[in-house]
Amino acid sequence: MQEGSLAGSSALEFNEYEKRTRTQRIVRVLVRKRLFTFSLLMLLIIGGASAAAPWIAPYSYVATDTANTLSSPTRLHWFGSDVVGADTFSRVLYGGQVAFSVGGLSSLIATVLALIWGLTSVQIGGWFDSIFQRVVDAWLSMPFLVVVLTAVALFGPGLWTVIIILGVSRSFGMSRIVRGSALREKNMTYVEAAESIGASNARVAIRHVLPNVLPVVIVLTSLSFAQAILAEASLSFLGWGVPPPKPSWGSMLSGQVIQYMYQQPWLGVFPGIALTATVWAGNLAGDGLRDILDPRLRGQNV
Amino acid sequence: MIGYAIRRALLFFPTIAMVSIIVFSLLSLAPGDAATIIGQDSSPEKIEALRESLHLNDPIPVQYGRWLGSLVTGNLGKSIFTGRPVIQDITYRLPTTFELGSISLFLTAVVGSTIGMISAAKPESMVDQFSRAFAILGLSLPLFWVAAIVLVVPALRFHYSPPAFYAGPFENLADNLRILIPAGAVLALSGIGRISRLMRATMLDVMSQDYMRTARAKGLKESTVLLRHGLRNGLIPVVTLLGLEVPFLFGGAVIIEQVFAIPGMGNYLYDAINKRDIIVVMDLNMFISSIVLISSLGVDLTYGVIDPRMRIRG
Repeated sequence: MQEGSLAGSSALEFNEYEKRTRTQRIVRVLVRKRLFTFSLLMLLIIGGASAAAPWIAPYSYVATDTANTLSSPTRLHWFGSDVVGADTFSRVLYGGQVAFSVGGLSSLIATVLALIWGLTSVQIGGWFDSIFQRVVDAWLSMPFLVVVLTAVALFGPGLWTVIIILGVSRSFGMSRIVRGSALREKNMTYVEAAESIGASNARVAIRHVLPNVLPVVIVLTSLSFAQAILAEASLSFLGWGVPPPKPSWGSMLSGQVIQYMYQQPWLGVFPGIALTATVWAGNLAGDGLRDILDPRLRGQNV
Repeated sequence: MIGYAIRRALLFFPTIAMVSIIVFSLLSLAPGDAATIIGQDSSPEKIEALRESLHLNDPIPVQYGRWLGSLVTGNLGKSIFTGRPVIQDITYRLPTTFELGSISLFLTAVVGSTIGMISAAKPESMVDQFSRAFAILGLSLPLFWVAAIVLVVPALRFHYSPPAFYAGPFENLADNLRILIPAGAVLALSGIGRISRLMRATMLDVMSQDYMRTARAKGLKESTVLLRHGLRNGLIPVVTLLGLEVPFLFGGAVIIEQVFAIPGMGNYLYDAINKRDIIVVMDLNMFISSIVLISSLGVDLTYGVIDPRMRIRG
């Protein structure tokens, strides 16, 4: 059995490759791309721990312990405690729930909307496409945090408000990439063939173009998951994120908390590590997905 | 070149008009109207009076037209809280953010390109793997956390703090830089991540091009080959990305200026939002977008200079 190593995959004889089951191929990818697997594991661990918070957190996230405020890590408070004595470990776990739910839901909304904007824009084409591109240009000229902050301030903070605003704002930028990919597909023969036998616009877009645009979309979704978590944390840091009492990693690092960090540096350690680790894992996973699904895209801004 | 420049410059107007529609729509779609937002805790009569004085009972397109008209004539209105004309505050604060942004952009360009080029010189080596992981880390680090660390650790460890109050570069350059350089460095982190990855990809692409082989075959020094032929072509996407950094700079500035207590545009926006100062918020959204659009126009024009193909195609 001849095994070369071209671009990280092996050049097997055709029969040998066919004999491998899909599970075997997936396992092979996971073993080869260690960084990708590592990042997936990190996400699973942090996400799993957050989901299990009601069972594994020693305290509720609002329980105060006025005898032990601003404490360093001890057996009572594994990650220390904050200014009112709330246990940081528990709050980090519950904060993870906020992060993952906001990140996951908003990136899903962004993806669905981006697909709608991008695919219809390409399919209808012409003046509709031009106008829509101006809309996207306009949206992209507004810094993400600025527009999201303004929108949240206008609509009032709230879990779903933040999720929807993050999702919609992200969708315009994503739609441009979807559009790029869809344009490439649209010029291919199979689309021409489908249209020539009278397939409707909707059918061409959904049945033919969409499946080929999906790899790009999957990569985008995972990357925007990580960005959404960071955006929500930034909003919470500024005081405009998910409202209390639900803890958010961003609000645990907010301006007021920074003042207390001079007294108790441990305050900043664990929420920051949790946030960075999650976002980093998300970005690494998205990057790894891009390498796996389409190595040609490596290094680009997709 | 002139034709390209004019065509490209004209694009500015429909786009900024679209921005104004988006900003105004956000305000219109939000629950309540400007009067309820501004006068949250006042009595209903006062809110109604406010509504009248702001002409909020007119139909929406009329309100939009009036707002757009005043923007176009340069009248940005007065802040609801300070009573000062918004333009005055912007004039005072913009240079500060500009200085912060320039320091950050400079660091992004220099550090990012260097890391990218080092990575490209030895692909798949340990140096390369580390650089790539580091670049992604730069994209993932929360700005406010790094800023907090940059402030707290030196204070606790070395008893060093930057000045408590901001000083302009002409009043006290030393104090000014002691605040802005750490701030700019933190702001540059995510940009470094983006630029180094792009630089790596571009240089790898460029170095495999035929004209590089020709240049070497001609007997040119390696440094000439790299700088004269490689860099000039490699610069194109990097210049674009540097231009695209401007929105990230403003977004990051909102956070950084908060943490480092820098009185710039980001801080202005944040204060206005906290005080529900709608006029300032909408004006700043428009102004910041205009700056972003103008800088991307600048990038495209620079493109036209560097890459002659753009003048015909674009």
